Amino acid sequence: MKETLFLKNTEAFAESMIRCGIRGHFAYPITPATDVMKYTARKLPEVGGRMVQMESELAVSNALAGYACAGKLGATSTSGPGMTLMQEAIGFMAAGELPCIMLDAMRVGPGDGDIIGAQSTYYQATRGGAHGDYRVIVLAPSCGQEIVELMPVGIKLSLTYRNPVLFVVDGVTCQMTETTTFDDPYDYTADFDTSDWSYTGADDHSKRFLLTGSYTHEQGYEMNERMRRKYEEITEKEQRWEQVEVDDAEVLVVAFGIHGRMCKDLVANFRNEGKRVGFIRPISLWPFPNKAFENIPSSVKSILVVEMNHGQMVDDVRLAVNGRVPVHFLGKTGGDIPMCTLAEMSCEVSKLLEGE
Amino acid sequence: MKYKCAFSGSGGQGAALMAKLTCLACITESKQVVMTQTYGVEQRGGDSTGFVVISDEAIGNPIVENDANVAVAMSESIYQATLDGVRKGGTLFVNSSMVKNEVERPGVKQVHLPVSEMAQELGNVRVANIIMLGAVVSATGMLKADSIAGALTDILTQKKKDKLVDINIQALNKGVEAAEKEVCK
Repeated sequence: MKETLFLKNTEAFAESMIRCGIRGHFAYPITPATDVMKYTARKLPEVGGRMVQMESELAVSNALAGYACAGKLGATSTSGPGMTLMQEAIGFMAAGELPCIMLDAMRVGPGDGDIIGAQSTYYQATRGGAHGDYRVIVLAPSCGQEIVELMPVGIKLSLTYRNPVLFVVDGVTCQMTETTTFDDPYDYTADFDTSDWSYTGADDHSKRFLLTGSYTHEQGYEMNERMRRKYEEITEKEQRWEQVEVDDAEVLVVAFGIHGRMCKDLVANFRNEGKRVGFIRPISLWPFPNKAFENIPSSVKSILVVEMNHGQMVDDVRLAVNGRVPVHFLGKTGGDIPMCTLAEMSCEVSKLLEGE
Repeated sequence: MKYKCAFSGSGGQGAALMAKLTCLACITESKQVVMTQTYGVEQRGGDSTGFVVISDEAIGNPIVENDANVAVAMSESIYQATLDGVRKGGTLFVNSSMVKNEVERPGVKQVHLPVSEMAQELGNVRVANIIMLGAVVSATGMLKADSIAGALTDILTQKKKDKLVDINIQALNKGVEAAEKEVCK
């Protein structure tokens, strides 16, 4: 039976991970992600799980790796500076092909930055902060309901490909409270058998069973080639996006997260005036939805990318568009209102419609 | 129908609770709702505003950008800013017990109700926000007063403050009546 709750979106993340079968949450407090661990600390014990507050984000990320080594899908939630501290372990998990679910409640950087929301983690999320040719699957829900809908998707991706999955949600969206509808609890992690690669006790494995991020020359080459094939498969199969009114659009707006959500009203307002505006909202940031841009119609004369940063995803849009159409950028970060308003977005789109 | 609301007041006047009750009542009526707030290093004191967007469909822009069509100013200090945040054609509900210096703004209807005094008459000034909320839902038709009453009862019962249910329901009804009189003027 469906149940509608009125939750902060951080709590919606916590509730959905519990309902989807995650029983281990490792975290260290940081605004604006702390509500996740407050929620799981209260709720996980009721279903036989545990929230473990570690002494630092380094400890959190390594505990998450250890939990995954035991064949369990764990989760963490953090924000900007905390995510930065976790990068080494994320690189290790990518190399060891260890699954996990992470939330970055994105805030303004660089450095400790500010606690106000932002989308300035795009580069770090999609390119990675550790060395090596590794990839993290990145999902960017735009509202509480989409966090809930993407949780089973994220869990399946993480366990199918044995890869870390990162949810990125700007801090403004994280701190919103909204109506969110949940399905009955279902343990998606139980659909996956991890026994052939996890530490389940000496009796189950040969003596030299090894999970590691360290390789000899030859093994390293083979490992990287295997990972390359895996990433190619993910890139081919797992691109996700929403597109609205693209078919005859003159101006196409591209935005993820909260700005992507605002595009719904933006495009509706322009269409009511008979103006041909559409939008593409990337849902998977890695793999970036290049396919959405393969067949953009010839009616499109310009593209506007809107972000809560100084221009990060715009690089991927330009790569996907490959010079076919001019790509413009609108964005801001920090301050009391750390994002462009709908009015500012509309103003920029109007200029592009007029060919300015 | 879509409503963009701004509930403003000074610390302790219960502006945030008005926003929250509105949201909970929306669940009863199967509407979609988003509540936003600013967050900073301090949590108490000063003025506060709870922004709420209500819609029958999935909500696009969740931010109230100086385009509220339903707004409340519970105190003098937040009155001007709240008035500035109302779009043309919108309505501002003013606690006239506290706001003494009215400003006319063309295109914005202002409904003046002395809710603090009305609350004192009921015996507890703290229910001024509930009187105002009753007036808001009644005058706008945004939600049913019964849905607010249900949300109020749930919240107070959960907090084991059952004895406060009666006065709050009285306050809600008083607001509904006041709005009816005001609209009939």
